Amino acid sequence: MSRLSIARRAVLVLIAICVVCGVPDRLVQRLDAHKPVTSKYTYWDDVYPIVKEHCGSCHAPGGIAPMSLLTYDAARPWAESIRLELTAGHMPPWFGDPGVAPLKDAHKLSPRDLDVVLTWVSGGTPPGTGKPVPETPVRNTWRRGRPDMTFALPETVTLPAGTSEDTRDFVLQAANDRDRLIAAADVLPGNATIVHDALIYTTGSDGATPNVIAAWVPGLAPASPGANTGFLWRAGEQLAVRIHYKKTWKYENKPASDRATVGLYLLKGAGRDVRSLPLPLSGAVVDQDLQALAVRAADAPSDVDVRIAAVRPDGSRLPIGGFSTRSGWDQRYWLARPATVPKGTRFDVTTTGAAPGELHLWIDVVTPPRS
Amino acid sequence: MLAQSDKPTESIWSCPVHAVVAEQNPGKCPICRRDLVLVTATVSWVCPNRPEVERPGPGRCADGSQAEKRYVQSTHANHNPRHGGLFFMAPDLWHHLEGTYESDEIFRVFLYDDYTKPLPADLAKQVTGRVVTNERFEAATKTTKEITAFPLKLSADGDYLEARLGRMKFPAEMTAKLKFKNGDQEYRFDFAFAEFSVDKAATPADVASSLFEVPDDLNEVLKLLAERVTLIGDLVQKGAFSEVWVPAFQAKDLALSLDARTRTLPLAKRDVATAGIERLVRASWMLDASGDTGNRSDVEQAYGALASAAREVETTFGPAAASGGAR
Repeated sequence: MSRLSIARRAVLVLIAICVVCGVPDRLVQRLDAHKPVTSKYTYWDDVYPIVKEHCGSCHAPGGIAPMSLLTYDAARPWAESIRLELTAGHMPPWFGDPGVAPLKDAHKLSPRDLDVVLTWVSGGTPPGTGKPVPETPVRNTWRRGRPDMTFALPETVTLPAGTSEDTRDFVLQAANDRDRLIAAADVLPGNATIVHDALIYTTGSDGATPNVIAAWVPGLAPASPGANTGFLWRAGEQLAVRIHYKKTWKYENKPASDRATVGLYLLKGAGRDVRSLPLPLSGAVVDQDLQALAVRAADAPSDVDVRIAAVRPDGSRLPIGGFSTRSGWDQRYWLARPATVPKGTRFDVTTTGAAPGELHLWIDVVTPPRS
Repeated sequence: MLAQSDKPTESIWSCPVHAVVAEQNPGKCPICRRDLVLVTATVSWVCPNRPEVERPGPGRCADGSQAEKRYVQSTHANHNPRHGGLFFMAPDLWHHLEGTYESDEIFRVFLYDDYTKPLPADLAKQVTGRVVTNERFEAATKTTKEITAFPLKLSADGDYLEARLGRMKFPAEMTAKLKFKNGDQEYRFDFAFAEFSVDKAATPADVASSLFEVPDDLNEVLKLLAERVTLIGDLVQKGAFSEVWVPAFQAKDLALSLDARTRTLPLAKRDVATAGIERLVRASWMLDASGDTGNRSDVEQAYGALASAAREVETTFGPAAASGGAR
């Protein structure tokens, strides 16, 4: 007799014991929650609401992701792929580590949602009895509402059939006649299936270091530095965007075109301007009182864990922020609360996995408000 | 879910990761370029304009179009050892195997397909490999040198591969290194036998000992969590990889019960707690998967992640945190 059939009999015996003893079944560990079709969670009843909310802005028809996850038939064949991506922590593509210090706008599955989806993909992917919902395409709209200023790319970009990936810089036709503070910036792709990520930046005519206003990735609403705070766009300075185009396998060997639009949300009235400071891996000492607002890596290789802390002159240590890197998914991680540090504070960087010189870190700071 | 056993099955070539791929011939996955593997799929027929409705068989649809074949992989329904040994799934997600070390001092490898059916004779004949009982990693060359290895030979009846090892000290640790056919990648499967394998079935007592409840008391939850981590460590140490999923999932359920308590923590600790619980959930699923494939390095990595996440959770909810509001 096979071991399985004995095991099944044993489970029946166990259930009988539970019934006799009055053990509530919700407290009983699922003994068979393993390889057969055992998932107590089903697609339409449990998984769909989670993927709709957390994955649906990309994993839907017309989105940057190569497959929709918004119907049972669309999602089920990807079960093993979903399992690998979720257990590796690669999806959703937000890699902040709130365990180091609280971060704003976290885009993660809750532990329970994560477990629901992993149970479903590992446990036989049952469809469930919930009413199927028609698949809705990606809504390609401004995610913070109508911007104050919009600039279309100067030209339509076409990736030829034989090109699967390209990065292009565009100077936008944006004559700036006075200093402005930009609270947030967004990209509206012309073709959301190929616009993978983007940097919106200002660059002075005097060769000043470009100031990155937004590190854009699809699916996330553009964040802002907070009340009365913005990125300075000086009069006469150019506004530019670097777009990373990437075709998924669905569009391989097919030409694809895009003409995106950049939108700016301006700060009304006066405010403090955010400065991006390069942060060497060896650390940096600040020469004035500062508030740290955000941290990011640029052109980072994958799988580097970054932790940044402030060591104040009195020796006390304040965690600033932590994140992991993922190539092609550079983004800014905003601290849940600004971290105020006095002059003489040292920003300390700890990394695991990076070869020296491979990682370029930035910390975004403002002058603290006068108390 | 409907039983799929009534439907016909066919062997198709698919990607180990992208099950949407269904080809009639070997080749590369069009999505990730992995080599396609042979899988068993149940076959149904659907009309192109009504793909949600399955037809009983091939033929013409109401609109005159030809019904199309649809393949559904329905596998891995049984990962239980058949001969009292240790059961693993190969990283190609198709081959499965069970190793035994019985009192006749012979190491045997029983080979199965993805339905845990014994591998057909023509495929079993193509499997080659050896069992290594002593090997040493040489840091200078970053290579593993095999000190003692025995070739695995197909048994006379073709049911298994075997090698006579002689008497080994328990726990008897050995690594089967197998190629499923000439030119394939070699996979390693790390076995550790605590005692001679005996072809016995599980008893109800075995299963009942797994009965597990998540208590209400926080300290009890933390105590059980620490015990599970220790237990998993012991199983990993012993090489009982196919058993780690039980305490790993229990640790996961304990951690998830703590997720509902994060609001009782001081504000500054809530995100830390949630991050730790999330890591523990991921690590438990990694342990489940790596335990199946029996690769010691993967299992140890997943265990390391789980133990570290559990420590983080324990620190956040532990006695110091309790004074801050958690009960």
